Amino acid sequence: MSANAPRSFLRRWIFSTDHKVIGLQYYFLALFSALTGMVLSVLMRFHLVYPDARVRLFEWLWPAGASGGIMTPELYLSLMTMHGTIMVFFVLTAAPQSGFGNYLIPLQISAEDMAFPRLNMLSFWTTFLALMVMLAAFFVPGGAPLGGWTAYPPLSAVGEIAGPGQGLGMDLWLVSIALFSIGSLMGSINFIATLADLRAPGMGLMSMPLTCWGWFSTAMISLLAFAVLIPAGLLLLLDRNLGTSFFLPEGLVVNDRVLPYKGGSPILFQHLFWFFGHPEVYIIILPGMGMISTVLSVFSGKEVFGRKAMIYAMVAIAFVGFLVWGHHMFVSGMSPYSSMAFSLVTMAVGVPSAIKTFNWIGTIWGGRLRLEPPMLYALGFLSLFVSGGITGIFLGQPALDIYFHDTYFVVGHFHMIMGVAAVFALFAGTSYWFPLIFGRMMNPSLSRIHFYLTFIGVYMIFVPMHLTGFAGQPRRYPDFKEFEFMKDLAILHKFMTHSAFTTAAAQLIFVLNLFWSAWKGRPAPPNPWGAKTREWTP
Amino acid sequence: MCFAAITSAMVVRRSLGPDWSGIPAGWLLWANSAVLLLSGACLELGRVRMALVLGALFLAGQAAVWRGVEVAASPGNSFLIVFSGMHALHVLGGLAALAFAPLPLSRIYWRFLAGLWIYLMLLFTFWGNR
Repeated sequence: MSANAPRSFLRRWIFSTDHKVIGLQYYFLALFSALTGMVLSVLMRFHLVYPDARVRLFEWLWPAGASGGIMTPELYLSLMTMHGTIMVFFVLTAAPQSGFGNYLIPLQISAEDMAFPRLNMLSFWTTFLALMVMLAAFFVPGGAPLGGWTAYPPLSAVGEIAGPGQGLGMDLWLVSIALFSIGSLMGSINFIATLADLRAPGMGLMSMPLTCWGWFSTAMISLLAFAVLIPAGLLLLLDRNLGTSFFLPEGLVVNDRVLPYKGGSPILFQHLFWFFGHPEVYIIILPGMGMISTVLSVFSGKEVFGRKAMIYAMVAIAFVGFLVWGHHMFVSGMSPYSSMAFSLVTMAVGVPSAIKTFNWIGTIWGGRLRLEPPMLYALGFLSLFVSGGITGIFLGQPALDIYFHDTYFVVGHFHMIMGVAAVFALFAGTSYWFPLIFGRMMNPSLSRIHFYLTFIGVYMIFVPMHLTGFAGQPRRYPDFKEFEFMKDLAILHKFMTHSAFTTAAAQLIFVLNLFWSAWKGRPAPPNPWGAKTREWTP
Repeated sequence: MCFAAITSAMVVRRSLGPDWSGIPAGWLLWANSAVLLLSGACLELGRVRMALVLGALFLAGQAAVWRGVEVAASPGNSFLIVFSGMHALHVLGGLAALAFAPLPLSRIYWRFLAGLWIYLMLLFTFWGNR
């Protein structure tokens, strides 16, 4: 520790400008958020198969939303909204990029720290504040909002009259997302400046590790995408609180009241939101792709196959990802010609992803595979990325999407690719870099058990969702008691729910392993995996 | 990208119906523009304190403009508030930065804010009020 380094506990561990501390702060914020989001999803899955169950805990937690212990539809929808929001932003956007990126970038490029350490600290605490504001929505009168993480107007714009949670809860949600976006923008500036300017002498852009390319391309699209989310949220806040009509048309009737808005368009919000929303999913997956390339390479004892193509593919995904947002809006009333254009570009964006997948296979092909836990997770990622990605091709066809939109087919698709593949990249990254961060090894037996239970478990949860989606089951419905055509699907839902309970429980193995090993794991040698990147060789 | 998004929102909104009545760009808005550009000129000449004072004066002037505009009365009003409000937020940050950040960085940022404001005034005048 240098002579100028802070010595107080507060400056070393809480308000620190050190990239490693900040990286860990982001990681544990994401871990806490993941467990919260997981609990919400377990509650949701419970309600879907036992909608009439009286649970005393629900009544205690939500006297208004679950009087008599029975979850109301509005409560279910608010749990769903918060589950999606917390997972997408505070887990999948925070951990792969800000968690792993902050910790590892300076180490991988031999820099002292990130380019702007104080901005870095500010970006974490802004994100932390955003999480506090988001969680506060649970505790205010009316509770958390219920319009989905996509918060479409008119439901999200008309305020309290739309239902519980759509008053103060929705405003808090919007403020939280605005804060999160600002935190992300600050982080992106830092990442771009660091990777552009602070690389070790002799390390050209093309010689940068693939992990750094993942964080670099992610930072660039993050800067452009979050800058569009902010006005979307701001305009929605203005519609809600100052009577403007950006997204609200004339003649809207809610609860028998004609509302005084004039001339706005709900579709405008969809465009603004998804212009952010699609790049967002690449923000979520690109860092993971970089990490997976590393792990597959190290544990096959081979260089990454087609390294240059991997870099170009990441950049292509990042760029083309800005041109496909309309595929979330095929059934919104958009012109079919626009739909055709978006569909073609959507299929095009699958090409660089496919290149990466084939190159991952090329990396392990003929290699001497060491099936250590990080490698297991990485191989799991490969499987899940293909499974999740393939169903995206179906959804990218407007004619098919007319049927699939807002069914469980979509829910299955995005969970496979975001909720599972991206998370497996986090598991791989955690078990791989754990020895570097904590100087100890994670318990390999616990890791293996966790891997197998989770890998099998997520397939059991999410494959049936595609099937119920095929059968026409709509998403965002609190229950299906009234629908005769779905009676036969009940067994699939019970199967998914019980798989979800088991898989959720299995995550405790990972959490226990993480904390126990950090405290008492086997001391790690300096480079336990035989890796070649600079973070391992001081 | 933030301002690009708001621009595209405005283009869409204008095309949606016949109720576009232009953007109220009165004399005060033009006076404030002059103040902002003057502030930028001071910064180019290295006169940081004058730039800060003029920047603050710009913000005060904008606040006066906003007081005279009913935000929900027309779409043009709404967009004026959103555009100039977002811009003003960025100026506020810039004023804080002038106090803390190195001068060359502030200069670049101030040029961005001035350029952005020129773009906005052109947008209001030649497109919004056509």
